[in-house]
Amino acid sequence: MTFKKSNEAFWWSLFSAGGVLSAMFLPAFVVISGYVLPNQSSADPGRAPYEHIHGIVSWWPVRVLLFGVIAFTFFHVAHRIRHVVNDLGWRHHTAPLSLVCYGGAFAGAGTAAWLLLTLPSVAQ
Amino acid sequence: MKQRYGTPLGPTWFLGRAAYRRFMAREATAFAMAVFLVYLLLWLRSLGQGYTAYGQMIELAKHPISVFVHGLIFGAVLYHSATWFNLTPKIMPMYVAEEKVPDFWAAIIMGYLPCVAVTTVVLWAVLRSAG
Repeated sequence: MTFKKSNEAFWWSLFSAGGVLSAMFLPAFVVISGYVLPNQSSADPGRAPYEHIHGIVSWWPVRVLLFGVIAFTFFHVAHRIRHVVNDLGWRHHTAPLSLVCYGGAFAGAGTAAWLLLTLPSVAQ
Repeated sequence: MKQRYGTPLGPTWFLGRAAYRRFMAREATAFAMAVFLVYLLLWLRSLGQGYTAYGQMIELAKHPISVFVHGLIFGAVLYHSATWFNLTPKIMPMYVAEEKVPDFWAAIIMGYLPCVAVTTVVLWAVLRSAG
């Protein structure tokens, strides 16, 4: 018996790392972006809330952490979406599906890297 | 139920059983998380562009549609976290002195507690003296 060669283990390792990081961090991130930040600046319309959050995000350890969470989570969702679309009926000629999912994850991770590297250290 | 080899399942195959529906709900959280990731990238871009662009992004976040979508995403993310933490001990059993730690406690130690700690630290950093 022979098995078809597969890269599943590699994609699964990225999926798994993203699963852990997103499970740990995303609840807090969603609360902050959906509730904390919008309500902060309505109470104080000045620059203070912007400079505060900019100061946190532009600190290099936070940039690295954010990159890790965003990049791995992109691979996590890409893997799940690929399998779910597969399970819902796209069962043959799956190469384009994989290309779109993992290609999208690479694009997302690359965009995150670029945005975090080019984020000015001083609030604009 | 007799099914011929190769008979295709329809796209609604998972509706038949509660366990399948839970499986599909868990997998579907990925779509909500994908939307949130794109939003996060747009937010990061506005942060780098400066005070004015960031202010426009926050105005957008105040819109009721944004609040509603954030609520949906929050539900999906919590479901992802809970299912992930509950599965972790099944994939990675935990032992103390050759004794297997019950899955319930292993999930709390490896998943829920670290998540609460991370959430506390992140929220503290953002809420600290920011009014």
